[in-house]
Amino acid sequence: MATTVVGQRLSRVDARRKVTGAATYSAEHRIEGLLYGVIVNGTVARGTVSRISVDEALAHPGVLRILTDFSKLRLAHPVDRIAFYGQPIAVVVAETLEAATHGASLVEATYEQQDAVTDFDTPDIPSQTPADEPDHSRGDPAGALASAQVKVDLELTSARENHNPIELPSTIARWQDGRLTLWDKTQWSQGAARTVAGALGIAVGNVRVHNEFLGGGFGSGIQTYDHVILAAFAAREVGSPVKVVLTRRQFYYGTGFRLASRHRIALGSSTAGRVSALIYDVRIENARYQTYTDGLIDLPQFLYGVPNTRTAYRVTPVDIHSPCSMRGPGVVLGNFALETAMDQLAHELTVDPIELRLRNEPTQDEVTQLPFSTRKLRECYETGARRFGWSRRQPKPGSRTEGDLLIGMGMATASYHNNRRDSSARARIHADGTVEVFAASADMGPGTTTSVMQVAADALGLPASAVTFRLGDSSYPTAPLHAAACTMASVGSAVHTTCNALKAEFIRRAVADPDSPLHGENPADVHVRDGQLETSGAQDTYRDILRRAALPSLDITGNWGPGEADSRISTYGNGAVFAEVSVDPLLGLVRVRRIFAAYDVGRVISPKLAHSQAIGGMVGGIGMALLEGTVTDHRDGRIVNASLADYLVPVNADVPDLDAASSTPRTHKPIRSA
Amino acid sequence: MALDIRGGVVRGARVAVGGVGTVPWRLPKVEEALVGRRPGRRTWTAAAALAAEGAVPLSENAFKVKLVERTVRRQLMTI
Repeated sequence: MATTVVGQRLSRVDARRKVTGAATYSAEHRIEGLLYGVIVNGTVARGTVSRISVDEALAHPGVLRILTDFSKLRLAHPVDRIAFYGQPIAVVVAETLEAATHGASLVEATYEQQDAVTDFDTPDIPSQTPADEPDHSRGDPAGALASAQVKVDLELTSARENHNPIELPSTIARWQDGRLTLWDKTQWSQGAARTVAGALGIAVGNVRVHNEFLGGGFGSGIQTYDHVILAAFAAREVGSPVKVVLTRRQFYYGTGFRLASRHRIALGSSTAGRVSALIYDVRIENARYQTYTDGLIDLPQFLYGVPNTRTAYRVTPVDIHSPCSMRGPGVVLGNFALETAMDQLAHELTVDPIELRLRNEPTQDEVTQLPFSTRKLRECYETGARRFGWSRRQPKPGSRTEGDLLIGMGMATASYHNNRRDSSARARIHADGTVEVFAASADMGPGTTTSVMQVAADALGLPASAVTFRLGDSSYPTAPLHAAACTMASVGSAVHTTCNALKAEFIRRAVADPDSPLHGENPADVHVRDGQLETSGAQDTYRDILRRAALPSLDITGNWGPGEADSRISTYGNGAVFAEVSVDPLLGLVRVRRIFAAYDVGRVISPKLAHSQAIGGMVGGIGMALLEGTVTDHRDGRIVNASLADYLVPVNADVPDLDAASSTPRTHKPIRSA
Repeated sequence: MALDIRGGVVRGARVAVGGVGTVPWRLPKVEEALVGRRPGRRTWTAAAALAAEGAVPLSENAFKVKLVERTVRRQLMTI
């Protein structure tokens, strides 16, 4: 396959629309007869609503209807009682947002309150082993740790965090003839359609979800939360389209979050730096009404070759709403524990942290006992160390100062499972030679609209300008959730397969057509470049083939799936991340000065977008390590800092020069960018 | 933080901190400890040590006692 568009440093095809306001986000669609819904959130963490008074709110001018009975809806949490602080107890529908907001403030509820526990560190509350995360053990971890020459044994904690994309959760719901259309800020239109259909008891075929533009997601838009269902419910009840947009404060109760976690990690090593024992116990906060685990034990189990390993995962259900995936879900928390322990061990051994990792590089995935598809961590360490200037590091803590500041360097290994899922696409060539490719995917920011177009353009032998990739509509061919780094590997692969099949169909038609210059040629000898189908002597075009057949267009739908590949190989993207920080020892103030990372993420389709993803991940890491943390007032379960004024995210002053390099694979791996 | 230093001596001092109470907080004890002293690390440390004197912290903000002392010291050190 000629690759001319893949690998080009293209800017986003929708960049101009985004920066000029021409891109229409979910809440911005102009729908005739639109009404506004505002959710009233409960103010206890556990109990029942004993009385709800709506009269005053209903009397407010513009307020049309107040819905308080959700008993017919199937929501993720119980509907007959309060399971968490902030649970919706009413929806106020009004002619204007202002009237609905004021009306919501006039709704009065009284509760039959029960004792609630929202702090998962509360002593003597039970924890459980989640069904999907059984304990893992190999060798004799306890014995190996006891007899190890050098040990580290750490207790670590991480705070709850909220995604805080700039675009807030927003839904417009419109019913027409029993069919529901949603404009929803979701990372998975087809998942949203299924959830809403299930919640309302209607056929999924009667629900269509549009999500062409997303203003960030980070995992907060994977699941379909109450506000989406309540918008659809309210629209059906009042017989008019209804829009619901959560406020920033409501966002903290109305979607999931990265769960808080408690870790114990112990490593046992020989004095030569060969790690013989690893024990990892982790415990996370969870809702009572559903179990969500987050893959924390994934990397500690396999990232290094450790013959005696034990991991144990526990969840502690309390009276909170359910956590969910958040950028680098789970993996970043488990890796925080593992890499902190490895750093500590390197310090104890006085071995360079990179050297320690190299000494424990596994030859296979020791959990599944499968070979790695590729594992170029060694190259990542080397490239990263060279470009970052690791040789200037002074290993003794506190040995490099600037004025009152301590300056330090550190590094960590990055790894993420290469997720691929069944996916479909439709590709259509029009009589004017332009191409549209369709899949029910989404683009929350990585640039999927651009990068998947690049895949299609190369498969069809066309320039980028001829191809448009259309996503953001649940009626398009099946796509997986736009999350977990699976979009390019899944949707990109489906588009690649489908466009190749469409090209083959055109070639088949050409060689069979007596009027084609390619008539009678062997299809295998026909190549496509710049829209020209050619052999050494003759050529035809997509346009001419359609013209001769008197077709306005020709399309094909194709499917792709990873099949059983995961039962044969262990596939991960890897990297080595290096940081230089200053620490003010008086104040404990940490400032990141620079970060450099060397990644092996397989074949990079769109280098500019991939680079944006790499440095964007670093910004997320700065937030996670130094700034972010959701604080709960455990007296009632209220979140104290549920605003962008109080919840710190990295701003420009926190983000220094960031850079990343991607290795070029020798062989083609499954493609991915985000 | 405003210090009036003349002839090698602190003649006047006004010190206030934010983020420690419901309103910006003037630190009169720190100010008194500065006035009449010679600028320098010893003066700064001694004055800053009074920054949270009398504070009655709760479990969730106890860290601010040490933090405000050190923040005042760090700021004085920039003079």
